Amino acid sequence: MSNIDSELMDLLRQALEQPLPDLKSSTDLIDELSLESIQVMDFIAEVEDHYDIIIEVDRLATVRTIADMGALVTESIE
Amino acid sequence: MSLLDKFQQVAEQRAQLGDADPSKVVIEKIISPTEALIGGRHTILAGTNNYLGLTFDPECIAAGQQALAESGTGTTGSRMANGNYAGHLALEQELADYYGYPHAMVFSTGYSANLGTMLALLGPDDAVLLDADAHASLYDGAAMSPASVYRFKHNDPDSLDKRLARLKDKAAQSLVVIEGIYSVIGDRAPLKEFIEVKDKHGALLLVDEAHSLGVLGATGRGLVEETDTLDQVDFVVGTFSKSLASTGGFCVSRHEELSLFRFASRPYVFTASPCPSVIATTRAALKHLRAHPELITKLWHNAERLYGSLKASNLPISPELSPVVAVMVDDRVRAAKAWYQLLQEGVYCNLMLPPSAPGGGSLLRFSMSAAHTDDQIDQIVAAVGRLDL
Repeated sequence: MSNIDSELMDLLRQALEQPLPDLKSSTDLIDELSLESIQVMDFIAEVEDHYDIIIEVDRLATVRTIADMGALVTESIE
Repeated sequence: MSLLDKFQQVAEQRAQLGDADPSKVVIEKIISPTEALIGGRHTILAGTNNYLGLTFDPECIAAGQQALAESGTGTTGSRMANGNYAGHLALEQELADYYGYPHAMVFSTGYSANLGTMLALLGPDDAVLLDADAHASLYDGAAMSPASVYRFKHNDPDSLDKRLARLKDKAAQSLVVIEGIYSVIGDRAPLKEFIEVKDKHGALLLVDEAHSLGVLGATGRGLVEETDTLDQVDFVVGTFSKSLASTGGFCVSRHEELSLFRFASRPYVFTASPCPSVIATTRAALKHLRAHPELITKLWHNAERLYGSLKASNLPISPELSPVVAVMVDDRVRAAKAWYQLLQEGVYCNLMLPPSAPGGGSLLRFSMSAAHTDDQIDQIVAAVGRLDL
């Protein structure tokens, strides 16, 4: 698991005011955490601010798992 | 897997709603701006966005009838190919006069006004930043453009500021997109703060006043009038289908270049222009709005009566007073059942399920009209009070 994936899990626990199962890089945000797509978008806004990055909206639609998000963050930081 | 397989999921979601499905509502007879016959039942309309109640205004109807008789049923084509009607140009002039701007552009729908304005304006080297809760038509306009599209937190100028800063030099080639009043829960944008941010970065600002035209400002010009920012906002877009009780949309601007947008706007060029009767009723409604600002006062009286009563009942409602009042419901099935119960009791409102509602929740949306009576509003409140939320 990458450091960014681990940080994203911490951010997710802080952002969601609900009990979460054990998180893995492969955890599917929509199917396993029952998040609505709009909640995923809102969470990504928090991620953007945490890393001081900006991500195009059309890239957000591809995010399903924590690993997907981690890859997007890594790409944006680079 | 077939292209059509994805519709199975849509069918399953619709089936879950059963009778509590807004798409099954048939308005058998429209009786007045606030009443209809639905399922054989006399029903109060509290979900039509008919803010000024002008759908049955005698002057608007007479203007439409006269235009039908004199100019026919349709224009049969686009203004660029088939020509302008005098009414199109007159409406554009009247809108420009209303706002005190040099130009206005009329579109066939509010949806195409947003698409048409954004597609004319945005090129491949540009960026567009949308409020998270902006209407689908604004997101579609952004997505169809060649510009880079970003999203900032709802009604959060600081979130916009951070994102424009991250764009660096590109910030000066950016369009910021917000709404006057947001259609889902009726909250309004902190416009002056957004103007400060966009000016700091040299960006342009578009305000969609679809739900605030005829609602905010002493003469109904929307949030830009209420905040006295007509000379600072770059583009105002709006629709004729709510306060002006017609169909169509428009863009007005203080920038002279708007007069050239029609040559670069595919949703304008490749769409049939509004038919003469629609233009005529819109012009009559705009004239009526300008002559009768007391309608706005009546609308807010009604909004206060509904909002105040629901708030006093300790229901989880939208955060600020507005003619759009939302009652939040945690669970989509419970929301659908509540919506259906209201319909059964003769109150029509809007059911909004994820992803239409902010935060991933569900809600019932009520919209007030200047034409509602106190008694009708009290009936709505009583019916909501009987729901198991």
